[in-house]
Amino acid sequence: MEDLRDHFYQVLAGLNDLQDGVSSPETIKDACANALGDLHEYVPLLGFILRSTNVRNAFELYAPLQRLCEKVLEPGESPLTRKTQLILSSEWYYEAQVHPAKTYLENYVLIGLPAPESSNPLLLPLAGHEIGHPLWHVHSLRDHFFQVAASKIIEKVLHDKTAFKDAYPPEPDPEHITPTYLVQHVNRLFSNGVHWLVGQAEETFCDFVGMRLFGYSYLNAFAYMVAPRLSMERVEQYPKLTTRVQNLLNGAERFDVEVPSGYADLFEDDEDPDYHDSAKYNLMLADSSLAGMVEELGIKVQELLPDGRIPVPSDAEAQRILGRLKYVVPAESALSIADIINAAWRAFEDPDLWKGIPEVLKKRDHALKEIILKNIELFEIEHRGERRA
Amino acid sequence: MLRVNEIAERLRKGMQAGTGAPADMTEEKVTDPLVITPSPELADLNTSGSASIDLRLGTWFVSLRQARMPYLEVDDPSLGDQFTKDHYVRFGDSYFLHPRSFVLGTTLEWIRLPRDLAAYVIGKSSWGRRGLIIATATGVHPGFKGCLTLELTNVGEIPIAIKPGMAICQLFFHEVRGPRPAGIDRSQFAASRKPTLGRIGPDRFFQNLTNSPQAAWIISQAKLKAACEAAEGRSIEDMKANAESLLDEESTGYLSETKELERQSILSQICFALSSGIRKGAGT
Repeated sequence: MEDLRDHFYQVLAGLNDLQDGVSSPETIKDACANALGDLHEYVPLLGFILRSTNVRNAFELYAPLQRLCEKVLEPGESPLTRKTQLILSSEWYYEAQVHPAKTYLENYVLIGLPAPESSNPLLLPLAGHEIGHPLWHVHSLRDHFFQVAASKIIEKVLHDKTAFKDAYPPEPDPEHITPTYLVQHVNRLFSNGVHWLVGQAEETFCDFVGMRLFGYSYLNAFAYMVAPRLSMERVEQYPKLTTRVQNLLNGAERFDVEVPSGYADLFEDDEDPDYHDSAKYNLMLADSSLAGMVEELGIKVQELLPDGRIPVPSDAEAQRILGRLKYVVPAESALSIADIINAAWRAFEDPDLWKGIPEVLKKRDHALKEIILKNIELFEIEHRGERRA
Repeated sequence: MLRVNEIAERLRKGMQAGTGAPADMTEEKVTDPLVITPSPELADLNTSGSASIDLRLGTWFVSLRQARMPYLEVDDPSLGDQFTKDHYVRFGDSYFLHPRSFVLGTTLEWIRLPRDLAAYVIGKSSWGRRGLIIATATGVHPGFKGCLTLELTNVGEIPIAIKPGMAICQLFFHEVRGPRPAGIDRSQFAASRKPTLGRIGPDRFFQNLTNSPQAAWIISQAKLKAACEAAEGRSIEDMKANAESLLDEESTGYLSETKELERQSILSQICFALSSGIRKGAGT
């Protein structure tokens, strides 16, 4: 809040420095427009920050998630010099979101979980996806993958020049379409395609980050949020849902994550936008080029999140925690919050859980949520006791 | 009452439950463990020579709003959320309990009592001498699971800063003798990490005293009909799910004109009577 206040004091001081008759009308108009633009961005952030203090949230999640953000985003920094600040809040949209970094909120990671379930620890893995966005930003991956995306799209065009000619009738005949020509004109012809492809690459990267951080539970939380859902028009910056799921399955192999049975069958594609000609062609180029980037995206996540730094979710550890949950007690000495959440999903899926304990069984889901949040608090207490790095 | 070294031994065994490893390879598997987590230092317990285990203050509090209603009607379960407010206090921060104020807190520890142990929560004298009174409802039944709700009152003259993580109360354990029926946890607070108000359960004796003659008549008629239908094979569960089906036309008409609260009370008393068992053949 103080950072926001300081920023707007600066904006106000700038406006006060403007003087009629000295500053040009255009300058005054631009300054006022910029100030209004800042306010337009600032008011939703205030709401976001306000909601972060609502007691419907599970505050137990905060400290372990803050530490995870620090480890992911500032791996080389000591705990004394780390700058990352997490604000964990809730969204009125029924989806998890990360708010883009603002220049006046540098080093802040703003993650919102869907308000009705902001205290549901089973959905915490979605925050893993959202942490991927600032990781993408911190390492300027957009710049690198923009170049990759442009070259992939040019490859696709060269592979089927007739389709290009059909989408852009005034352009040269196929025999004159050369790599040099396309490189020169890529921004003019394929701006949308490259933009969409880079967006799809970022989302795929973030899916891999979520899966690397949370493993099995990421797949479950993702399905919980989007399958099934009412058909809606697809957003081009996201891969087609079935493509996204296929990429998740490929990622599961890379990150050695068990896939829930029948997983791919849970999802259906949304409708494509009603595009024609060049826009439709651009979307086709973006969709068909993504497959060629998935391998590199996976390798990049492995490079940025090496096993030694961030604990790899362990199924054996999740099973150990599950063993304690069956006695309706939290598990001591968990190695990571991912293992706790993975155990929670295993418990959630177990039809026999607490069958012999009627007083707990009658409020099974509530009890599971409570015990998992207590387990996360216990994890934090143990961390503070030992002050693990 | 159990000595603390006995408790420590049971806690040590309880720490292994569910992990696949017995506490000692020579020991039998513990199927109904005593667990307190975060665990007290077992080595310290073994040498303390005392009879209680200290528990710590948790992070969630529930305060009562003072100005929301003219008085508290305890038998209306829907009112709980209207006059309570949740608070979360981080480790390192304080909750300020003002003189003559009251707040519900929890233990930091999650507790699981086996079926052969009960416990009593008692305040710590060092706090009591400073005006902080802890836990007025002190019994913990066998089979309890969750964090204990504590009632905290400042009867002193100055505000008291209470902090999550500090030792706040102590727990004395007693062995419960006799056969161990399954599912004997009477507590309403099972598996909760936050303080809970609980509900004041149906009290048939009290309701018999206070029911209007009309309500008493409707309930008695419904019980008679339930007994007949049970004799004909209708399940108790089905009757509980459709308590209104046990009402005759006159009763239904009467209830349609009464206040909703009274109507709910009568229907819940019918359900409670069904749960308590009806005499087969009664009314025939």
